[in-house]
Amino acid sequence: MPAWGDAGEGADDEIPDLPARYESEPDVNGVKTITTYHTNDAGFKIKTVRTVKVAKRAIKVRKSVLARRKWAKFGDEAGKPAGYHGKGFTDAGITNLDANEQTLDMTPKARAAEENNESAQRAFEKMNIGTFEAWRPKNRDAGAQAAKEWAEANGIASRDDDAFGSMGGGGRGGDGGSSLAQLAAGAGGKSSYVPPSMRNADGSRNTELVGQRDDSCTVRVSNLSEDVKDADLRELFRRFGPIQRIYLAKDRETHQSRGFAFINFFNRDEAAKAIQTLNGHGYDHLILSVTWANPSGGGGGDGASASVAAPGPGDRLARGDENRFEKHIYNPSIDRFRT
Amino acid sequence: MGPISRILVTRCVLDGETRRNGWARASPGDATMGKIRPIMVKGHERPLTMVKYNREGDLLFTCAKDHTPCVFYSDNGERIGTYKGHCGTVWCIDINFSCDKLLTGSADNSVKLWEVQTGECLHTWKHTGSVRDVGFAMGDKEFLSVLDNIMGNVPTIFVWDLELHNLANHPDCPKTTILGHKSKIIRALWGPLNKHIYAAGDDAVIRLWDPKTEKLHLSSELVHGKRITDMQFSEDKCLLVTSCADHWVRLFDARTLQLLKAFNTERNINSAAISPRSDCPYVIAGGGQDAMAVTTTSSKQGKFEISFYDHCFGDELGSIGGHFGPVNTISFSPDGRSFASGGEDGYVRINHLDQAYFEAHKLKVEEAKA
Repeated sequence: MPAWGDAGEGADDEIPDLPARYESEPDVNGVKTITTYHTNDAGFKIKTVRTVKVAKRAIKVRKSVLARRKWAKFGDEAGKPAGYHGKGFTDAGITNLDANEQTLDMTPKARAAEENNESAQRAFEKMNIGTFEAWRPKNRDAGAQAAKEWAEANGIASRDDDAFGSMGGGGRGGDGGSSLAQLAAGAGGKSSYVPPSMRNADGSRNTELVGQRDDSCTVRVSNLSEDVKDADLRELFRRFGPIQRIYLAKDRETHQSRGFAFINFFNRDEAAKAIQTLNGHGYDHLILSVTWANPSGGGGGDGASASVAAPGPGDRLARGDENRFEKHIYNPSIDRFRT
Repeated sequence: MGPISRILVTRCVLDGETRRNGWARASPGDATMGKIRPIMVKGHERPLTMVKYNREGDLLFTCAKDHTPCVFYSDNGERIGTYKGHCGTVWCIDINFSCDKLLTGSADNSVKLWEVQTGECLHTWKHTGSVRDVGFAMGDKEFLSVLDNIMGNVPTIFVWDLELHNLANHPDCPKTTILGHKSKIIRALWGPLNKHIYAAGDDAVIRLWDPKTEKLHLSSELVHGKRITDMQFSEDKCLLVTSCADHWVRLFDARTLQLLKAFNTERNINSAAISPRSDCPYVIAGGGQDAMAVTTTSSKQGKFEISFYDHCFGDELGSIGGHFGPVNTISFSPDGRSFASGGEDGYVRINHLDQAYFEAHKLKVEEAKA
């Protein structure tokens, strides 16, 4: 008996010596194999073996419900085909599936608010640690300088230079002075409006923040399986140090993982350690490729950290891919997909 | 082991892990987020007044301010038929235990009894005013109807004998008349074993009446701040939930009328229902801004969502939106796997809940134990 898919094609009739389709009985796990044979365009005989899991799902339905599913339509619906027409039934006038999916979040509201606070707190701490302190004084001086220049150019006598210096320092240097500085900063930039998120302490535009994402501690992970979720990555990378942010690339429509992710660490050494340990590591039947996120080999610009990173990805990549697979040692404590 | 079994194993482990990790980390795509694709049913041209499932939960009955109640397959929202005969707003609907008879009460001053399968009107009971609620007593030997306090009527609960085999010359006067409410009665329900009738309405009091003696058995004064907009039993009739115009949903012990839990919804609510599943101890409430103010504000501000409350932990959970007018009535399917809501916008929405919904409470319990 030919496979049902091949019936009527005629190809099987021409070569009578092809073995018949064979189906094994389901084993204890309900897995059966289906073997089919056919001849391809080039005249070769092809044997296809498919493994299929057979599962039975029993749904109990009351007799009364079954009887009601055969009811004839009545009233305004009289004349329409009798009975129940299955899930996904639509009737343009009356029954439709909502085009928008609704999301029901079962997290308690109080806890959700708490989590938001936590992440805000983390963001704030992060700001205090490095970036915030780093850019503030420099820009304040620059802003003040620009304001001074603008004021001089426009013939507004700057009565005392300290006014510009003090207002940036957080003190209320007087409303007049402050708005002057803002005007000056605006005149320097392209447009006068500065969104609050981009403002310096004195209201001028913080140019350094624009487009700046510190990639020096970012690790790129690829060859991830589709089942991997954010939480799994966090679990996997947490052991190397605190994580700023995890970005798992997902398909816009299907929301399925696209197989790569970026992990921002706080610390470059920890990122390097993660690369060293996890690159070429088996995870959910795939072998991970972990590298620095920016293509220049993790060039954050400072030589000290680059030297730390060098023994990590550099030599591995240099040795080539096949080498990497040989080096791969299975460590069950890391791969929690196989228990 | 073939590739398929490998995948299966992976999935199992993954599930186990998410569970252990706890559900506090609610990133999108996490176990606590459920995706629901509701069925929108437009069987009515006017605002819905009541939606109700039958006992098995396979049929959904709806009535609205147009004059024709409808019946749907609740699984897919396919309309089976309509019940033609009323000439006024149909305020209420009730299905009997065996799901072959239907009672409707209408603003055309009548209660009608229908054959569920054919849509044939079997009998009509005339009233002196519009009928706000009807209900079969357990056993189908009696039913109650509630008379509105309009056109000079006193708000009244009538109990009628129901002789289903003698409809041709059915006695047309009520067996019992319960007076005592001061203002409009919005809901009257038969208690367990038909021992009491629970009634609630605009005077913000739940009253328990004895249908035999017509006497007041119990009442809950000073609990509700404003008029009660809806009252429903849980599946086992042990709990009673009310939605109130003071924005609170309240959960009562049905036997003693003791207040068990209360949730502030911070908006007008028109209806509330209790999930029948013990592994999902939730109360849902729906409503939103008054119909009069709807056109002047965006639908986001109107708060037309149906929100979930965990009455075991006392948490407010997420909500499901979709209606673009206030939600007038909600009802849980008896198996707790879906619920239906009817809105001022004329739509009935059937929401089949997904797996994350059923697991959320178990996860929370496990986390609380740990």
